[in-house]
Amino acid sequence: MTSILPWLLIIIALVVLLWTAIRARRGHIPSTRPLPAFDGLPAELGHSAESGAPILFTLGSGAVGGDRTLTSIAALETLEGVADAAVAYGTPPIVAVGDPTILPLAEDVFQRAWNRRGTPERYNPASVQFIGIQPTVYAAGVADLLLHERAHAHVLIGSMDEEAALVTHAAEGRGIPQSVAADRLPALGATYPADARLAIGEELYAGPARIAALPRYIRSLRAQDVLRFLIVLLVLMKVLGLW
Amino acid sequence: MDRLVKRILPTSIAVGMGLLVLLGYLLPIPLLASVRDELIRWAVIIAAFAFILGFFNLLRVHSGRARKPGGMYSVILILTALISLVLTLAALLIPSLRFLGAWWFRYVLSPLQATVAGLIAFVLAVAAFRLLRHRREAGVLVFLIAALVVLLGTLPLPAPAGNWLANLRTWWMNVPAMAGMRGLLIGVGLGVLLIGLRILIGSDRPYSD
Repeated sequence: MTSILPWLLIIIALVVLLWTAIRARRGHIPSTRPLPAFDGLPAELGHSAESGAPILFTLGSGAVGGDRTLTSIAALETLEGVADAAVAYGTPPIVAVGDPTILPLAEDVFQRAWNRRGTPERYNPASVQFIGIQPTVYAAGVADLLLHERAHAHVLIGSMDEEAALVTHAAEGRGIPQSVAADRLPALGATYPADARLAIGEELYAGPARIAALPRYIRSLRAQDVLRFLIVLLVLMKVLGLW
Repeated sequence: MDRLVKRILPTSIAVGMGLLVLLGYLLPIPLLASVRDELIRWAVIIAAFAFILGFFNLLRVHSGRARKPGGMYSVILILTALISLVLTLAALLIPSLRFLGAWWFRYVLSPLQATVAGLIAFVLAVAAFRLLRHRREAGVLVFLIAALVVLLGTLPLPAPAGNWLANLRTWWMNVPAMAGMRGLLIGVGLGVLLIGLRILIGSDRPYSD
Protein backbone atom coordinates (compact mmCIF):
# COMPACT_ATOMS: atom_id res chain seq x y z
CA MET A 1 0.00 0.00 0.00
CA THR A 2 2.84 2.39 0.92
CA SER A 3 4.45 2.04 -2.52
CA ILE A 4 1.12 2.44 -4.34
CA LEU A 5 0.17 5.65 -2.48
CA PRO A 6 2.51 8.06 -4.35
CA TRP A 7 1.31 6.69 -7.69
CA LEU A 8 -2.28 6.99 -6.53
CA LEU A 9 -1.67 10.63 -5.57
CA ILE A 10 -0.12 11.36 -8.97
CA ILE A 11 -3.04 9.74 -10.81
CA ILE A 12 -5.61 11.58 -8.66
CA ALA A 13 -3.74 14.86 -9.25
CA LEU A 14 -3.78 14.28 -13.02
CA VAL A 15 -7.48 13.36 -12.95
CA VAL A 16 -8.35 16.51 -10.96
CA LEU A 17 -6.25 18.66 -13.33
CA LEU A 18 -8.07 17.13 -16.31
CA TRP A 19 -11.48 17.44 -14.65
CA THR A 20 -10.97 21.12 -13.77
CA ALA A 21 -9.69 21.75 -17.32
CA ILE A 22 -12.87 20.25 -18.78
CA ARG A 23 -15.04 22.27 -16.39
CA ALA A 24 -13.07 25.42 -17.28
CA ARG A 25 -13.90 24.86 -20.96
CA ARG A 26 -17.57 24.82 -19.96
CA GLY A 27 -17.02 28.22 -18.35
CA HIS A 28 -16.58 27.17 -14.72
CA ILE A 29 -13.45 28.78 -13.29
CA PRO A 30 -12.81 27.69 -9.68
CA SER A 31 -12.22 30.45 -7.18
CA THR A 32 -9.10 30.61 -5.02
CA ARG A 33 -8.93 31.23 -1.30
CA PRO A 34 -7.61 34.60 -0.06
CA LEU A 35 -3.91 34.68 0.84
CA PRO A 36 -2.84 37.91 2.56
CA ALA A 37 0.83 37.37 1.66
CA PHE A 38 0.05 37.68 -2.05
CA ASP A 39 -3.24 39.61 -2.13
CA GLY A 40 -1.55 42.86 -1.15
CA LEU A 41 1.07 42.65 -3.91
CA PRO A 42 -0.86 44.37 -6.75
CA ALA A 43 -1.56 47.33 -4.44
CA GLU A 44 2.11 47.42 -3.37
CA LEU A 45 3.09 47.56 -7.06
CA GLY A 46 0.84 50.60 -7.48
CA HIS A 47 2.32 52.29 -4.42
CA SER A 48 5.79 51.42 -5.69
CA ALA A 49 5.02 53.16 -8.99
CA GLU A 50 3.71 56.24 -7.15
CA SER A 51 6.79 56.46 -4.93
CA GLY A 52 9.23 55.53 -7.71
CA ALA A 53 10.90 53.04 -5.38
CA PRO A 54 10.97 49.41 -6.53
CA ILE A 55 9.89 46.32 -4.62
CA LEU A 56 12.73 44.01 -3.58
CA PHE A 57 12.10 40.35 -4.37
CA THR A 58 14.20 37.84 -2.44
CA LEU A 59 14.02 34.53 -4.31
CA GLY A 60 15.85 32.41 -1.74
CA SER A 61 18.83 30.09 -1.95
CA GLY A 62 17.15 27.46 -4.12
CA ALA A 63 18.85 26.23 -7.27
CA VAL A 64 17.76 24.54 -10.45
CA GLY A 65 18.92 20.96 -10.08
CA GLY A 66 18.32 20.18 -6.43
CA ASP A 67 15.53 19.44 -4.00
CA ARG A 68 14.57 23.13 -3.99
CA THR A 69 14.14 23.40 -7.79
CA LEU A 70 10.35 23.38 -7.86
CA THR A 71 10.07 25.86 -4.98
CA SER A 72 12.32 28.21 -6.94
CA ILE A 73 10.14 27.72 -10.03
CA ALA A 74 7.04 28.60 -7.96
CA ALA A 75 8.85 31.76 -6.82
CA LEU A 76 9.75 32.61 -10.43
CA GLU A 77 6.13 32.08 -11.53
CA THR A 78 4.95 34.49 -8.84
CA LEU A 79 7.57 36.97 -10.02
CA GLU A 80 6.35 36.50 -13.59
CA GLY A 81 2.84 37.29 -12.35
CA VAL A 82 3.93 40.77 -11.26
CA ALA A 83 6.51 41.40 -14.00
CA ASP A 84 4.11 42.75 -16.65
CA ALA A 85 2.41 45.18 -14.25
CA ALA A 86 5.75 46.31 -12.77
CA VAL A 87 7.18 46.91 -16.25
CA ALA A 88 4.02 48.77 -17.32
CA TYR A 89 4.32 51.02 -14.26
CA GLY A 90 7.98 51.63 -15.08
CA THR A 91 9.25 50.45 -11.70
CA PRO A 92 10.55 46.90 -12.22
CA PRO A 93 11.49 45.17 -8.97
CA ILE A 94 15.02 44.47 -7.79
CA VAL A 95 15.46 40.70 -7.64
CA ALA A 96 18.04 39.10 -5.38
CA VAL A 97 18.94 35.50 -6.24
CA GLY A 98 21.02 33.13 -4.13
CA ASP A 99 22.07 30.68 -6.78
CA PRO A 100 23.48 31.41 -10.24
CA THR A 101 21.27 28.76 -11.88
CA ILE A 102 18.23 30.90 -11.02
CA LEU A 103 19.88 34.06 -12.35
CA PRO A 104 19.26 33.53 -16.11
CA LEU A 105 15.66 32.43 -15.41
CA ALA A 106 14.92 35.55 -13.33
CA GLU A 107 16.60 37.75 -15.97
CA ASP A 108 14.51 36.04 -18.65
CA VAL A 109 11.28 36.87 -16.77
CA PHE A 110 12.01 40.61 -17.08
CA GLN A 111 13.52 40.46 -20.56
CA ARG A 112 10.31 38.81 -21.82
CA ALA A 113 8.16 41.30 -19.90
CA TRP A 114 9.98 44.25 -21.56
CA ASN A 115 9.75 42.47 -24.94
CA ARG A 116 5.98 42.04 -24.54
CA ARG A 117 5.83 45.75 -23.71
CA GLY A 118 7.66 46.48 -26.98
CA THR A 119 10.61 48.20 -25.31
CA PRO A 120 13.32 45.53 -24.89
CA GLU A 121 16.01 48.23 -24.69
CA ARG A 122 14.62 49.36 -21.32
CA TYR A 123 15.58 46.08 -19.66
CA ASN A 124 18.19 46.74 -16.99
CA PRO A 125 20.42 43.69 -16.38
CA ALA A 126 21.39 45.05 -12.95
CA SER A 127 17.80 44.66 -11.73
CA VAL A 128 18.48 40.95 -11.14
CA GLN A 129 21.38 40.50 -8.76
CA PHE A 130 23.27 37.40 -7.75
CA ILE A 131 24.22 37.83 -4.10
CA GLY A 132 26.02 34.68 -2.97
CA ILE A 133 25.61 30.94 -2.71
CA GLN A 134 26.23 30.45 0.99
CA PRO A 135 22.79 30.99 2.66
CA THR A 136 23.99 33.28 5.47
CA VAL A 137 26.09 35.35 3.05
CA TYR A 138 23.04 35.60 0.78
CA ALA A 139 20.86 36.75 3.69
CA ALA A 140 23.47 39.33 4.76
CA GLY A 141 23.69 40.60 1.16
CA VAL A 142 19.92 40.97 0.87
CA ALA A 143 19.82 42.73 4.26
CA ASP A 144 22.43 45.17 2.92
CA LEU A 145 20.32 45.76 -0.20
CA LEU A 146 17.29 46.46 1.99
CA LEU A 147 19.25 48.92 4.10
CA HIS A 148 20.90 50.81 1.24
CA GLU A 149 18.58 50.56 -1.78
CA ARG A 150 15.44 52.67 -1.84
CA ALA A 151 13.01 49.73 -1.72
CA HIS A 152 9.30 50.42 -1.27
CA ALA A 153 8.40 46.90 -0.06
CA HIS A 154 10.00 43.51 0.40
CA VAL A 155 8.76 40.12 -0.81
CA LEU A 156 10.61 37.00 0.29
CA ILE A 157 9.45 34.02 -1.72
CA GLY A 158 11.48 30.87 -2.13
CA SER A 159 13.62 28.47 -0.23
CA MET A 160 15.33 29.80 2.88
CA ASP A 161 16.17 28.56 6.37
CA GLU A 162 16.61 30.42 9.67
CA GLU A 163 18.87 33.03 7.99
CA ALA A 164 15.62 34.55 6.66
CA ALA A 165 15.45 36.31 10.05
CA LEU A 166 18.36 38.56 8.98
CA VAL A 167 16.41 39.67 5.91
CA THR A 168 13.06 40.28 7.61
CA HIS A 169 14.84 42.08 10.46
CA ALA A 170 16.46 44.49 7.98
CA ALA A 171 13.11 45.15 6.25
CA GLU A 172 11.45 45.72 9.60
CA GLY A 173 14.22 48.15 10.53
CA ARG A 174 13.40 50.16 7.41
CA GLY A 175 9.70 50.03 8.27
CA ILE A 176 8.67 48.81 4.84
CA PRO A 177 5.78 46.36 4.27
CA GLN A 178 6.84 42.80 3.61
CA SER A 179 5.41 39.42 2.60
CA VAL A 180 7.15 36.16 3.38
CA ALA A 181 6.54 32.78 1.74
CA ALA A 182 9.16 30.14 2.52
CA ASP A 183 9.00 26.38 2.24
CA ARG A 184 11.42 25.47 5.01
CA LEU A 185 10.32 25.05 8.62
CA PRO A 186 13.29 26.94 10.15
CA ALA A 187 12.38 29.94 7.96
CA LEU A 188 8.81 29.92 9.23
CA GLY A 189 9.97 29.91 12.84
CA ALA A 190 12.50 32.63 12.13
CA THR A 191 10.13 34.92 10.23
CA TYR A 192 7.03 34.47 12.39
CA PRO A 193 8.08 37.21 14.85
CA ALA A 194 8.59 39.68 12.00
CA ASP A 195 5.90 42.17 11.10
CA ALA A 196 5.14 40.45 7.79
CA ARG A 197 2.28 38.84 5.91
CA LEU A 198 3.16 35.14 6.05
CA ALA A 199 2.35 32.35 3.62
CA ILE A 200 2.88 29.07 5.42
CA GLY A 201 3.96 25.80 3.83
CA GLU A 202 2.02 24.93 0.70
CA GLU A 203 0.62 28.46 0.46
CA LEU A 204 3.90 29.39 -1.25
CA TYR A 205 2.82 27.29 -4.25
CA ALA A 206 -0.51 29.12 -4.40
CA GLY A 207 1.32 32.39 -5.18
CA PRO A 208 1.13 32.08 -8.98
CA ALA A 209 -2.62 31.28 -8.76
CA ARG A 210 -3.34 34.36 -6.66
CA ILE A 211 -1.06 36.74 -8.57
CA ALA A 212 -1.10 35.60 -12.20
CA ALA A 213 -4.57 34.00 -11.87
CA LEU A 214 -3.92 31.89 -14.97
CA PRO A 215 -6.34 28.93 -15.31
CA ARG A 216 -3.50 26.38 -15.20
CA TYR A 217 -2.32 27.68 -11.82
CA ILE A 218 -5.86 27.80 -10.42
CA ARG A 219 -6.49 24.23 -11.62
CA SER A 220 -3.29 23.12 -9.96
CA LEU A 221 -4.29 24.82 -6.69
CA ARG A 222 -7.65 23.05 -6.81
CA ALA A 223 -5.90 19.69 -7.34
CA GLN A 224 -3.60 20.52 -4.41
CA ASP A 225 -6.63 21.19 -2.18
CA VAL A 226 -8.36 17.95 -3.24
CA LEU A 227 -5.20 15.92 -2.54
CA ARG A 228 -4.76 17.54 0.86
CA PHE A 229 -8.36 16.73 1.75
CA LEU A 230 -7.80 13.09 0.73
CA ILE A 231 -4.61 12.85 2.78
CA VAL A 232 -6.35 14.29 5.86
CA LEU A 233 -9.13 11.72 5.32
CA LEU A 234 -6.60 8.88 5.04
CA VAL A 235 -4.78 10.02 8.20
CA LEU A 236 -8.09 10.20 10.10
CA MET A 237 -9.09 6.73 8.87
CA LYS A 238 -5.73 5.34 9.95
CA VAL A 239 -6.00 6.98 13.39
CA LEU A 240 -9.55 5.63 13.87
CA GLY A 241 -8.44 2.14 12.77
CA LEU A 242 -10.69 2.14 9.69
CA TRP A 243 -7.77 1.35 7.37
CA MET B 1 8.06 29.39 -37.14
CA ASP B 2 8.28 31.80 -34.19
CA ARG B 3 5.81 29.65 -32.24
CA LEU B 4 7.84 26.52 -33.06
CA VAL B 5 11.10 28.05 -31.82
CA LYS B 6 9.71 29.85 -28.78
CA ARG B 7 7.08 27.41 -27.53
CA ILE B 8 6.83 23.99 -29.13
CA LEU B 9 10.54 23.14 -29.28
CA PRO B 10 11.49 24.17 -25.70
CA THR B 11 8.34 22.53 -24.29
CA SER B 12 9.01 19.28 -26.20
CA ILE B 13 12.64 19.19 -25.02
CA ALA B 14 11.68 19.92 -21.38
CA VAL B 15 8.85 17.37 -21.30
CA GLY B 16 10.90 14.72 -23.14
CA MET B 17 13.98 15.13 -20.93
CA GLY B 18 11.85 15.26 -17.76
CA LEU B 19 10.06 12.03 -18.68
CA LEU B 20 13.33 10.30 -19.63
CA VAL B 21 14.94 11.18 -16.29
CA LEU B 22 11.80 10.18 -14.36
CA LEU B 23 11.52 6.83 -16.19
CA GLY B 24 15.24 6.27 -15.60
CA TYR B 25 14.53 6.37 -11.88
CA LEU B 26 11.28 4.40 -11.96
CA LEU B 27 11.96 1.56 -14.42
CA PRO B 28 14.80 -0.95 -13.90
CA ILE B 29 16.05 -0.69 -17.51
CA PRO B 30 19.87 -0.19 -17.84
CA LEU B 31 19.54 1.86 -21.06
CA LEU B 32 17.15 4.33 -19.40
CA ALA B 33 19.45 4.58 -16.37
CA SER B 34 22.47 5.41 -18.55
CA VAL B 35 20.45 8.03 -20.52
CA ARG B 36 19.31 9.52 -17.19
CA ASP B 37 22.91 9.71 -15.89
CA GLU B 38 24.10 11.31 -19.13
CA LEU B 39 21.33 13.96 -19.00
CA ILE B 40 22.16 14.73 -15.37
CA ARG B 41 25.84 15.16 -16.37
CA TRP B 42 24.74 17.69 -19.03
CA ALA B 43 22.72 19.55 -16.41
CA VAL B 44 25.78 19.76 -14.14
CA ILE B 45 27.88 21.21 -17.02
CA ILE B 46 25.18 23.81 -17.78
CA ALA B 47 24.99 24.69 -14.06
CA ALA B 48 28.77 25.27 -14.07
CA PHE B 49 28.31 27.88 -16.80
CA ALA B 50 25.64 29.52 -14.65
CA PHE B 51 28.33 30.04 -11.99
CA ILE B 52 30.41 32.01 -14.50
CA LEU B 53 27.33 34.12 -15.31
CA GLY B 54 26.78 34.69 -11.59
CA PHE B 55 30.37 35.85 -11.12
CA PHE B 56 30.09 38.38 -13.95
CA ASN B 57 26.69 39.56 -12.67
CA LEU B 58 28.29 40.19 -9.26
CA LEU B 59 31.12 42.20 -10.86
CA ARG B 60 28.72 44.20 -13.07
CA VAL B 61 26.30 45.10 -10.26
CA HIS B 62 29.03 46.08 -7.81
CA SER B 63 31.17 47.99 -10.33
CA GLY B 64 28.07 50.15 -10.89
CA ARG B 65 27.56 50.59 -7.16
CA ALA B 66 31.23 51.30 -6.47
CA ARG B 67 30.88 54.69 -8.16
CA LYS B 68 28.00 55.72 -5.90
CA PRO B 69 28.36 57.21 -2.40
CA GLY B 70 29.14 54.43 0.07
CA GLY B 71 30.58 52.31 -2.72
CA MET B 72 33.62 51.33 -0.66
CA TYR B 73 32.02 48.01 0.33
CA SER B 74 31.39 47.18 -3.32
CA VAL B 75 35.08 47.86 -4.07
CA ILE B 76 36.05 45.49 -1.24
CA LEU B 77 33.61 42.88 -2.57
CA ILE B 78 35.05 43.10 -6.11
CA LEU B 79 38.61 42.81 -4.79
CA THR B 80 37.68 39.84 -2.59
CA ALA B 81 35.91 38.10 -5.47
CA LEU B 82 38.94 38.62 -7.73
CA ILE B 83 41.37 37.39 -5.05
CA SER B 84 39.20 34.25 -4.56
CA LEU B 85 39.18 33.67 -8.32
CA VAL B 86 42.95 34.13 -8.67
CA LEU B 87 43.69 31.84 -5.70
CA THR B 88 41.33 29.14 -6.99
CA LEU B 89 42.82 29.28 -10.50
CA ALA B 90 46.36 29.29 -9.08
CA ALA B 91 45.57 26.21 -6.99
CA LEU B 92 44.23 24.45 -10.09
CA LEU B 93 47.19 25.35 -12.29
CA ILE B 94 50.01 25.10 -9.72
CA PRO B 95 49.23 22.40 -7.11
CA SER B 96 52.00 23.66 -4.81
CA LEU B 97 49.99 26.89 -4.33
CA ARG B 98 46.92 25.02 -3.13
CA PHE B 99 47.67 25.99 0.49
CA LEU B 100 47.02 29.67 -0.35
CA GLY B 101 43.45 28.96 -1.45
CA ALA B 102 42.86 26.72 1.57
CA TRP B 103 44.25 29.46 3.87
CA TRP B 104 41.99 32.07 2.27
CA PHE B 105 38.87 29.94 2.70
CA ARG B 106 39.73 28.71 6.21
CA TYR B 107 40.93 31.96 7.80
CA VAL B 108 39.05 34.67 5.90
CA LEU B 109 35.82 33.42 4.30
CA SER B 110 34.75 30.76 6.84
CA PRO B 111 35.09 33.04 9.92
CA LEU B 112 33.14 35.78 8.13
CA GLN B 113 30.35 33.34 7.27
CA ALA B 114 30.31 32.02 10.84
CA THR B 115 30.09 35.59 12.16
CA VAL B 116 27.02 36.32 10.08
CA ALA B 117 25.46 33.00 11.14
CA GLY B 118 26.14 33.92 14.78
CA LEU B 119 24.12 37.11 14.36
CA ILE B 120 20.94 35.12 13.68
CA ALA B 121 20.42 34.23 17.37
CA PHE B 122 20.59 37.91 18.39
CA VAL B 123 18.30 38.96 15.55
CA LEU B 124 15.76 36.33 16.64
CA ALA B 125 15.91 37.54 20.25
CA VAL B 126 15.29 41.15 19.14
CA ALA B 127 12.44 39.99 16.90
CA ALA B 128 10.83 38.12 19.81
CA PHE B 129 10.92 41.28 21.97
CA ARG B 130 9.41 43.30 19.13
CA LEU B 131 6.74 40.65 18.75
CA LEU B 132 5.76 41.03 22.41
CA ARG B 133 5.43 44.79 21.97
CA HIS B 134 3.56 44.92 18.66
CA ARG B 135 1.31 41.86 18.38
CA ARG B 136 -0.88 40.70 21.21
CA GLU B 137 -2.74 37.63 19.96
CA ALA B 138 -3.19 33.99 20.92
CA GLY B 139 -0.77 32.73 18.25
CA VAL B 140 2.01 34.92 19.62
CA LEU B 141 1.45 33.54 23.12
CA VAL B 142 1.69 29.93 21.86
CA PHE B 143 4.84 30.82 19.88
CA LEU B 144 6.53 32.34 22.93
CA ILE B 145 5.49 29.47 25.23
CA ALA B 146 6.90 26.99 22.70
CA ALA B 147 10.16 28.93 22.47
CA LEU B 148 10.46 29.09 26.28
CA VAL B 149 9.67 25.39 26.75
CA VAL B 150 12.29 24.36 24.17
CA LEU B 151 14.94 26.76 25.49
CA LEU B 152 14.44 25.93 29.18
CA GLY B 153 14.08 22.21 28.46
CA THR B 154 17.45 22.23 26.71
CA LEU B 155 19.25 23.90 29.66
CA PRO B 156 20.97 21.56 32.18
CA LEU B 157 18.81 22.72 35.12
CA PRO B 158 18.91 20.83 38.49
CA ALA B 159 16.26 18.17 39.29
CA PRO B 160 13.30 17.97 39.76
CA ALA B 161 12.43 21.11 37.71
CA GLY B 162 15.13 20.29 35.14
CA ASN B 163 13.80 16.76 34.54
CA TRP B 164 10.22 17.98 34.34
CA LEU B 165 11.16 20.69 31.80
CA ALA B 166 13.25 18.25 29.75
CA ASN B 167 10.29 15.82 29.61
CA LEU B 168 7.94 18.66 28.68
CA ARG B 169 10.34 19.73 25.92
CA THR B 170 10.53 16.17 24.57
CA TRP B 171 6.73 15.86 24.59
CA TRP B 172 6.38 19.30 22.94
CA MET B 173 8.85 18.39 20.19
CA ASN B 174 7.40 14.91 19.59
CA VAL B 175 3.69 15.67 19.71
CA PRO B 176 2.44 19.21 18.85
CA ALA B 177 5.59 20.35 17.00
CA MET B 178 5.90 17.09 15.06
CA ALA B 179 2.19 17.17 14.12
CA GLY B 180 2.49 20.72 12.79
CA MET B 181 5.74 19.94 11.03
CA ARG B 182 4.30 16.91 9.26
CA GLY B 183 1.25 18.88 8.19
CA LEU B 184 3.48 21.58 6.69
CA LEU B 185 5.74 19.04 4.99
CA ILE B 186 2.76 17.23 3.43
CA GLY B 187 1.50 20.57 2.10
CA VAL B 188 4.93 21.45 0.68
CA GLY B 189 5.17 17.97 -0.86
CA LEU B 190 1.80 18.41 -2.57
CA GLY B 191 2.80 21.82 -3.92
CA VAL B 192 6.03 20.39 -5.30
CA LEU B 193 4.18 17.41 -6.81
CA LEU B 194 1.71 19.65 -8.63
CA ILE B 195 4.41 21.95 -10.06
CA GLY B 196 6.39 18.91 -11.20
CA LEU B 197 3.31 17.48 -12.90
CA ARG B 198 2.52 20.82 -14.57
CA ILE B 199 6.02 20.90 -16.06
CA LEU B 200 5.90 17.25 -17.11
CA ILE B 201 2.59 17.65 -18.94
CA GLY B 202 3.85 20.86 -20.58
CA SER B 203 1.29 23.06 -18.85
CA ASP B 204 4.03 25.12 -17.17
CA ARG B 205 6.76 26.68 -19.27
CA PRO B 206 9.13 28.64 -17.04
CA TYR B 207 11.48 29.02 -20.01
CA SER B 208 9.15 30.56 -22.63
CA ASP B 209 6.05 32.73 -23.14
